[in-house]
This record gives sequence, structure tokens and C-alpha cells, in this order.
Amino acid sequence: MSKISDFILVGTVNLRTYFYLSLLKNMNIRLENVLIYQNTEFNLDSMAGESISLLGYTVNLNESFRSLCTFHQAKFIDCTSINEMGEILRPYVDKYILFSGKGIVKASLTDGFSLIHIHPGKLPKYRGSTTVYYSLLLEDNITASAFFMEQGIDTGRIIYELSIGGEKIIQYSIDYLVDPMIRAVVLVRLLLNFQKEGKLTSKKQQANNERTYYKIHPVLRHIVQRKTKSI
Amino acid sequence: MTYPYSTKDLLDSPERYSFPDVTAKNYLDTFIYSRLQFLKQIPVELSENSKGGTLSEEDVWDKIRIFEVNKIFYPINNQYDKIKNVKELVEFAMNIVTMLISDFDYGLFSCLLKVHDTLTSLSIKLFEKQQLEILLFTIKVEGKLLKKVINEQNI
Repeated sequence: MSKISDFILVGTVNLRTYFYLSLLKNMNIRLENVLIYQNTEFNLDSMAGESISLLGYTVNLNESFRSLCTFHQAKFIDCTSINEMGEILRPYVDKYILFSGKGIVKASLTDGFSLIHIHPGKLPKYRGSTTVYYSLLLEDNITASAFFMEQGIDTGRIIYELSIGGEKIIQYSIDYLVDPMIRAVVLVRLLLNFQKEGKLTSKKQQANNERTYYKIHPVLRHIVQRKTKSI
Repeated sequence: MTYPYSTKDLLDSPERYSFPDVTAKNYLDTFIYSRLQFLKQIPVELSENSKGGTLSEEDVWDKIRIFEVNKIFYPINNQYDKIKNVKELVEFAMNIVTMLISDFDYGLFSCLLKVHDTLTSLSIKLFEKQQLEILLFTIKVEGKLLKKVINEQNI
């Protein structure tokens, strides 16, 4: 078991957090701390037995969220937003905080802490929502990018990015398997790199005038899902 | 299956498009059928109006930001507000189409599909003659662009 004490994970009960915790467990990695807020039940019934393999990494959805939390000794925090957690996070001001929640994070947190978000799109080209779909339409590939959060949407210095061709995700559900999986792979690779290098290096995004994508229309979503044979 | 965005007035109930179920094999057919049903209601004596957009690209992108967040341009308290939204949305559709014809963009096209979803969910009585003529044009362009996308994506 390898413990990476420079990182904590802060997230809600969601599929992305599940994939992060599951792949970390598969890779025998524990973080300094895992804090789960907005604690709700997570029902995986509709996806029981599903699994995805990508670049040699595999996640099986055969373990409960609770069980993964137990493995990672996660603490449950009685907050509805990370924006309420300033004081709780204060002891971790010198750590890297992997964010796995939703919503706009207030400036006092993005400015005061090293918050890392993993976005399912190449930056700065694919900022915004459902960028996996736009990227598959335009380039037949997908990318996930880890970056330090700032106040702008998906701006911030890029720490690690990974692209894969559309042919590698054929027949997998894009929303429920591919999107969280590529982010989880980036998380693991980022941590392994950190272990090797002893530091995180980052680079400024090349341009700041790139546009933001909004939720893709269902007709285009359908076309992408047919293209990748996930339906 | 019925195209899900044609069953209710989307000005009264703006659609957020969160995790839609698009798995039906005939999803595209239901979409096309829904658009054709709307076009069928337009009186045959009206003809396409392709007058072109009047806004700058920058203004269109500003409007896209507003539309994508709110899905309406004016809060709706009465029928007059609906009519104001219809006017704005039809002009908006024309401006998006003008940009798409000059330079196709998936984000723009996605927005046009949503604008048309809203407009085609409404009673035809809310539209003026010229607005229907513009819609005849913009919906037909949407159809041509969709065909092009389907061909390009090899599905």
C-alpha cells in the first residue's frame, strides 16, 4: 500500500468520486485524507456488473460506494458545498486538494488552496460542458486534463493531460463509464508522476480567448453514441 | 417513442437537457417527425424568408451565453412576454443559421437545435407571418446541416 500524503480528495457522493476511489484502491494508493460532503445514498444497481478497461487500468462496478469509503477511511462532512468548508480545509492549506464535486467554487478557496480539478476535455480548446461529446464529434478522441482551479471556467494551469482515440471506447457508455474512467486514469497517473518526481509541474494554458461549450443537444449526443456504438 | 421536447411548451417549462435518454434506435426519426409536424402547420402560401442575420458574431455569442443558461430571453408573466420571447428567438435562430452557413460549428448547431426545440414546442398561433417564414428557412437549414453531420460521422 502506497500512501501519498501530499494529497487529499474532497468530493460528493457521485460516479466520478466512485471511479477515483475505486481505481486508487486497485492501484493500492491511499491519500492523506478523503472528505465526502453532501452525503447521500449512491445507488449503483443499474450499473451492477459493469466494468471498463482503459490503457491497462480497470474499474469494476461491483463494490459499494460505502465499502470504498471504508477502505480509504473517508470522513463524511456535514456540508452541502465545498464553499462551506473553508475552516475544515484549513489544516490542508499546504496539500493538494483533488476536487470531485460540482458547482462554482468561491474565490477564497481557489485562491487560498491548491485545488485540482480533472476536466474531461483538452484545454483550453474544450472548456465547459459535455466536451467529451464535442471532442468525439470533431476529433474522434477524448482528453482529460488536470488543472489548478481558478475563478474562470476551466482556466488554470494544466498539470497533466491524457488523450485517447475514440476507437478505444467503443461500446462503453460515455456518460457512465468513459467520462469518469478517463478522469480516474489521469488522477492515478498524476499521483504516480508526483511520487516519481516529488513535485507537480504545471503549464499555463496557451490562450484565454477560447470559447465555452454548453450542454450538447440530445440529437448530437445520440449521434455520438451511435458513432461509438454505445447504443 | 415521441421526441421528448415536443410534448410541452418549453417557454413555460424551459428544458435543461440534463442526462437525456437518447438510447432509442429511432431517436433521430422521432426528432425529424417532430420538426415535420411543426412545418406542416405553417400555411402553404408562406414561403421561406432567408433575410440573414443582423447581429455581429460577438453579439450572437453573447446571446448564446444568455440562452444556454436561461433558455428564455424575458421572464414570462403573461402572453405578451411569450410573444416577446418568440420574436427574439426567431431572430436569434436566423442569426445562428447565418453564422452556421458561413462557418459550421457544433456548439452553434447544438444551440440552434435547442432554439428550434423551444419554438416548435409552441402553438403556431403565437407566431406572426414573417416569423413563420423565417422558421421555414431556419428549420430547413437545420435539416440540411443534420444530414451533413450524419454523413460526416458515418452513422
